[in-house]
Amino acid sequence: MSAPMDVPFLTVITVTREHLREYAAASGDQNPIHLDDELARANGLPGVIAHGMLTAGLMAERSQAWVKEVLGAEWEMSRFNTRFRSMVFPGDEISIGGLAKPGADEWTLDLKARNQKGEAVVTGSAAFRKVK
Amino acid sequence: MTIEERVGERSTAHRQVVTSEAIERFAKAVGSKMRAEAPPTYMTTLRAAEFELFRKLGIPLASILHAEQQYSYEPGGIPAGSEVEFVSVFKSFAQKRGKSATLSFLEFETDVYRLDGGERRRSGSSLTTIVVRGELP
Repeated sequence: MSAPMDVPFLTVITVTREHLREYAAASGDQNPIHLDDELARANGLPGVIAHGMLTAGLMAERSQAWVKEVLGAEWEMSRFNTRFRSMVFPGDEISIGGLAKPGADEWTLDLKARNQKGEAVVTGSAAFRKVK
Repeated sequence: MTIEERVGERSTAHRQVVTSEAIERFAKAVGSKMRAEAPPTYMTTLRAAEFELFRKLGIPLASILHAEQQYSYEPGGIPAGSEVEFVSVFKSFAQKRGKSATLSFLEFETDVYRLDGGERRRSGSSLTTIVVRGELP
């Protein structure tokens, strides 16, 4: 069995309001807390926040890119779990990395998305199985 | 009927064709190169069944924060052009007293099926945990 491997942290995005509009249109999640400062503030937030699933989507892509590059194209994602720990705001720079652990017939990547202050904003894990 | 008593309530079945245009738009938004099949978190676009339950339960969209998301995937993914069917169920309810408000945690499970050539094949499932601050209706 192989040893665990580092998934290097890479900066994947500096969040803009345009990203939030694009993600809202692409995902169908038009919750105004992601699009309208006034409504976000009326709901107790300091202003618009990024969709948690935008960061999660970037995390899934970071894991897929690492697996394809290091393990090869014959692995596919079987599970993906994320926990949203801290809010992400326009202007935040997000980097994603972690640790990949081999199992009997799958690899599990434990991942963290950090903001520019080093705070974990989303944590998650992605499991990959070999395509039959 | 309290919201707790409504655990187990199901949405109607929703159907959607996963077009290559929708995949491309979503893939670009999350920095994915996938085009022939949907990226893993594309399942988040199939939340209409969850949103139907939010409406039925009287939870305003703007009061919702996403706490956790889990997905599982069957082999084969969702190829571009597939028609999918998905249904959500209100799975659980719990409340905690936070520093300044009561926090309600609600879980919604969604099963996604591909409808190909008259066959209905399970494609994956999603478990969404949301948190709502303050009083619920």
